[in-house]
Amino acid sequence: MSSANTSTTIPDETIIQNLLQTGSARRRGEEDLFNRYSYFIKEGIHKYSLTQEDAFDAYSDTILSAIDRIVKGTFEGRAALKTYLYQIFHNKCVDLIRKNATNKNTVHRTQEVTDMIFHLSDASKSIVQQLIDRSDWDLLRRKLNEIGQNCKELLMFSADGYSDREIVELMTYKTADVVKTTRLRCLEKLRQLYKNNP
Amino acid sequence: MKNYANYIKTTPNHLFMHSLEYIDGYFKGEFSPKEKTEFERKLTEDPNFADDVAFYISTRQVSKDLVIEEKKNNFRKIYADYDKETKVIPMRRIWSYSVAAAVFAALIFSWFMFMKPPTPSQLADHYIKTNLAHLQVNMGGGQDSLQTAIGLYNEGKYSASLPVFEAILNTQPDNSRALEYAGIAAIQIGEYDKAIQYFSRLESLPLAYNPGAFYHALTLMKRNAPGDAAEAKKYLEKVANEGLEHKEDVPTLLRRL
Repeated sequence: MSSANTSTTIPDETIIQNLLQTGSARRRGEEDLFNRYSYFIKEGIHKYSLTQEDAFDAYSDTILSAIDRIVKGTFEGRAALKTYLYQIFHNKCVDLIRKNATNKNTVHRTQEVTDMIFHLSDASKSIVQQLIDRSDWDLLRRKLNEIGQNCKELLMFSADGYSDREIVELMTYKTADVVKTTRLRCLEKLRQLYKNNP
Repeated sequence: MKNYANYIKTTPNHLFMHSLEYIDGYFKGEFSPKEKTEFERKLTEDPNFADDVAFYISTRQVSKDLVIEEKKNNFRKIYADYDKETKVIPMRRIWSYSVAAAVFAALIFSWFMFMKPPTPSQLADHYIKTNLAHLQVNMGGGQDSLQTAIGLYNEGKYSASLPVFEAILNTQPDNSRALEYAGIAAIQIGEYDKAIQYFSRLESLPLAYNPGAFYHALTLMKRNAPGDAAEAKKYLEKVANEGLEHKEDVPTLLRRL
């Protein structure tokens, strides 16, 4: 039996509890949440006349966005999880219909940037935003793939919201301080590669 | 904790590693208000430092993009496996599937001959079993009365949970979650008139999230007294037309009502 079938019987609160854990429990929570409401994809095809690929994208983005909010504690549980997800899914389908197909993968592109510069003053925000806009994303991505598996994995865990303390267990480091130093060295290494690119 | 205001004054700009640690401290929320002001001042006055901040954020974004891509690829694989399992029929098993199809056709024929379509009560039953077996637990909620009542409900102790929800309503008559859950618990123990009272009260509250009308319809379907099905249909149409809570569940129910 596929996990897609069994996940439909897992209560929402169990899925949420797993999402609030780390490592394999969180991964299981992510997959269970994806499976639980994957029938939305068919609805995206029939109700919004999306292609299967677009409906899948809208649903995947919905799940990733919900996971992000659950992990950050901004999902307060005032609406049932299904209603909450459906609202996000509906908005993403409408966005997809409005957007040109070539832009559909940009749903998350600037979300992290937006979240991070949110706390800066307007003057600082404007300076940083202009510099970010000039970043060579493709080059940075290529260099991130070149800095070594360990560094790449460490930066990805950090970007995924794991604290240095949580990464200690996930990557078998000794202490959170070691994780922090290694993470900053990886960034430094990436910066050198990025700057020195011919 | 590190004194960052002092730290930045003594750290040369070209030492990028130090600069990174400083930037990391800011975005991890480790700074005092005074240190934040100092950080922002430096950002506006020192182009090299601003460049470092932009690099830090850009790297974070690219790393997050990779995380998302990896997760989406994993979802794609899960969905493809599921789709394959449900769609692909191996040729060597075609015979057994033919037999199964014949049996299925016979069952369908029998169903048309001898069975009636599901009653509104059966439709409601199916919905309740599928969607209302567990109530949402408050994220980070403490051990208050609402949590206690939800706990009892989720253990299947519907009769025990209802008085606890009602006790909350005695002191907070407009507590929307208590009204919603009291109504659901009342359905579970067959107290349909009581459930309708709670859902009617819920409907009258000015809420952004208000499932009152949908549950009212569900209760009428479950009770299935003369005229209830027609009344339930009106409520479901209202939910769909006004875009109320659970509107996505309405088409399936209306089609079969």
